[in-house]
Amino acid sequence: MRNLSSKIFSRTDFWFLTIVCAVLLSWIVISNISPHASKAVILVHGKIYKVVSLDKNALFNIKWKDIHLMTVQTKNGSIRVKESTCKNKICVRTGWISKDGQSIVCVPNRVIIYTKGAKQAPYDLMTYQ
Amino acid sequence: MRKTRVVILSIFTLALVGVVLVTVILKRPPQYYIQQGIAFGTDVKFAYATKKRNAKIVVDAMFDELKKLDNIFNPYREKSELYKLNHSNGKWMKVDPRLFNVLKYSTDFSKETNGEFDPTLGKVVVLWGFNTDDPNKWRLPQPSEISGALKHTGYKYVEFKGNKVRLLNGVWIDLGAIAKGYAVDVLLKMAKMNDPSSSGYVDIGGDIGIIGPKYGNQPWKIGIRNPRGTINDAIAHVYLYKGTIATSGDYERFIIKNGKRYYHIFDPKTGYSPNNFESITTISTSGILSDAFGTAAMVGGMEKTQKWSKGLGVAYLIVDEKGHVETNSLWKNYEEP
Repeated sequence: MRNLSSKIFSRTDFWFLTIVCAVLLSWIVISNISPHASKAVILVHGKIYKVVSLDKNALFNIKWKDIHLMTVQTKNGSIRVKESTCKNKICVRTGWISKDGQSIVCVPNRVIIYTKGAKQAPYDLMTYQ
Repeated sequence: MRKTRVVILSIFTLALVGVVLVTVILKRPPQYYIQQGIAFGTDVKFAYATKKRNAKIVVDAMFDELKKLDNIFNPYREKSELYKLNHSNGKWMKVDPRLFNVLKYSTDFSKETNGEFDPTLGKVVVLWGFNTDDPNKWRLPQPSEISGALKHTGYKYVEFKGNKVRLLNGVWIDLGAIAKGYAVDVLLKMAKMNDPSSSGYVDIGGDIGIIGPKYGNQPWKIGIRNPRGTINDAIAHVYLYKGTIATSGDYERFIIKNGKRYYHIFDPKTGYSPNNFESITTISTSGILSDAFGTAAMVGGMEKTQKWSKGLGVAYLIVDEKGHVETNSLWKNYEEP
């Protein structure tokens, strides 16, 4: 059996097949790794207003047509609305979010903030009243 | 001999590459087209995957449909069909078939729940100010104001003739307890009409409908919001391959006066909010049923909820006034993937 296989596959063939396998395995591993870093996407009136990195600590204002809507803060991989001009303040009370599947919504100001490329929340969706 | 070796080696390499390619392609999940926005007075999120490669077109059409539905069902928008009906002074009015069907469903559901669910509490809602997003306008009315508003309620004052409707006794319709669920049903139908094997979900402000299992064969994991926690804090989870889920609760539009919580759902008999549950989450095959059932249950309390759920096949999770969680036997079907 050993003689038969050595007749079919030489040492060169063995190394060739090993390299082919290594290339394929590397490709599978690379294709399964997410290339994204943690970001937050800020939508205002349905359009992307800003994409911010969650790796940097920052404090910035969101304006629409020169009108101040809210102040947003990023810190330690999380994002929150620190202050908002809306009346119900649901967006402020949402607090920090850091996981995909979570979002901050301000209906009166028509602002949505969600993360992208972060760790997945322990759920896909949330039902609430 | 060398020629045979080259042939065998080539076949072996090609087979290896083929197996890996097929494995990777099969393993790769369908790409969801996800769109998030504000419509219907709330935040809306759709995820949709279809082999027809027209996901964006369908999702855009779903957003357009939501705008149309808002123009029909929003009772506080002067141009809406429902606003016009509420101000039709008891005259017969031909209404959009969608409004007609939802009104019919609402009054039938009122009969089924012996009036615990009532779509004619519009004047009571406005009196408390819960029709607005502005907490400064939410207030505790005087008892005389409440009894005055209650005189203009009652689902029996909604009459149907052919494709016409009339509202007697000055009642105002508010479909806040049912419209989101109806919209979920409409959008699910749109998605499935485009492609019966499509997958994804529609989420209209926490009223969720499943278009199809995640990646074709996995359940969507859905968190149930803790009524006394933060917005992203879940008290339980369920796994849904299909169907709809909705939640009613006392924690978003409320005021606290003299240590008592008053919120946006009202007992049609008293004009005050009931004290039965902090929240109820319901699962059923239809969004409109899941939505309406939750409101009726908040008013009806535990015994009636148990009775109705058996008749209607609705699974529920209740967080009662003391924060205790109670589920029915149907709910257990969704606790594991």
